Amino acid sequence: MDDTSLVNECLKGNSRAQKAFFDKFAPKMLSVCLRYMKNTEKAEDALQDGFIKVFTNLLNFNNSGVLEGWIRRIIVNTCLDELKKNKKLLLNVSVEEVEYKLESNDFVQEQMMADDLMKLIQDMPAGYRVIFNMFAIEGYAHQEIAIQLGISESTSKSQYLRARAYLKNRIDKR
Amino acid sequence: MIEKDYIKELFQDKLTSHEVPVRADLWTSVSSSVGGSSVVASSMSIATKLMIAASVSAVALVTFYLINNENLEQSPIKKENLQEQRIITVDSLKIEKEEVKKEEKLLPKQAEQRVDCAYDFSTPENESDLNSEFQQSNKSDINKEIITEKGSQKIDQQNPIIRNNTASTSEIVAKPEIITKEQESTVLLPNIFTPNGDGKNDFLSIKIGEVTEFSVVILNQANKVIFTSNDPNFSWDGQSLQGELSPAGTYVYYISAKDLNGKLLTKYSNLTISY
Repeated sequence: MDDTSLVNECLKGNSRAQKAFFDKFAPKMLSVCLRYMKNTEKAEDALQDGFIKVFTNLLNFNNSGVLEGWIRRIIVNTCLDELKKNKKLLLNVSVEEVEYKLESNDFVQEQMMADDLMKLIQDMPAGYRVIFNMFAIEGYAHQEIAIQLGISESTSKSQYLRARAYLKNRIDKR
Repeated sequence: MIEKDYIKELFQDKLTSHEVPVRADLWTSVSSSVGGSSVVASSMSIATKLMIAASVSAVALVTFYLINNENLEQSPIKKENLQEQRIITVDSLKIEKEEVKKEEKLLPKQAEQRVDCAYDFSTPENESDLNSEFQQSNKSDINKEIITEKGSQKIDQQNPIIRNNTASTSEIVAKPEIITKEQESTVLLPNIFTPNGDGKNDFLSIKIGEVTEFSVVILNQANKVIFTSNDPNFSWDGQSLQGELSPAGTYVYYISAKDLNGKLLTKYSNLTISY
């Protein structure tokens, strides 16, 4: 069943289609949640909340975009909302610009498994993690991140560079 | 920055389509909020389920529950399959029930043996005690195998007769477990923890109901006591009594406790420490 007919069946209230829909996208989305939330429990909560939003708003999905991207956006927003409830999340950063250079282009890190990378992300400080996720993996622009998180664009940039330097450091140590 | 962002590429490449298995029960709560009728995979009617439940004897149920319980905790997705398996196995379970009854008579003897071993072990000075220790760690090893070999359990359930006849060792191991479960169904002994400071499974602790007396003893492979406590809510960080960090490896630990009815419960488990 392709995405369009799956959505249509879900809209009709077909519970089997809803289950199929969930099974199809939940594993990827759980991976997304795990990158944003600090533990599995919180990630699973966000996943459930996110999918409830997805299903209740499915009518608004107009088939113009990619279904997975649309879901992913809702899931990310759900995670962000949850994180914003926790005030101490962001961002004790001085706003100066920092430039980090990557000295070597060796590809040792290419061999690192996705799971290892997941672990690295989860171990990052929360402020780094969110911005790194949004910019590097979800592909948001700094401007958009700034609006979403209520921070300045330059903060977003500098946090990203710090996060990247942090990760590079961790990877090189291995 | 003109230079290519390798870190970004790496993470984007590896993680954009990364997937993590989702627990089956997560769907249940989403589905109930969404309003779709809950999904019933097996077409079995409730009446059939009831009949099946009634036709299985208490002993068979306990055995079944214990085995499946392990299964469920590890992979809740199996839940639906189990219902179907129940149909398949109900006939064979009846047969098993009779066999189990025969074997039940042997049970008290085995239980005594086991308890003796546990007691002897608290004074591990003489040689015979060492032997009993070996037996026990063997037993617990076998026990662990049974639990981890999910595949073989399925086979067991479908061919219980074969299991009764050929796998007599597994019967012996499994039975004492049942007896202790009946006394104190709330005790589950973890058999691994990772005291590496990552915030996950850094401490060994157990969940036990109300008890009046409690003791726990942890030994290393040289039968040296490396931790004891009388606190049911103890939490062990992996440091030995001498304050050294215990190396990764296999250990064994025993608990004994008296519940509110004054019933004595003793239980042991092997314990793997890894970092």
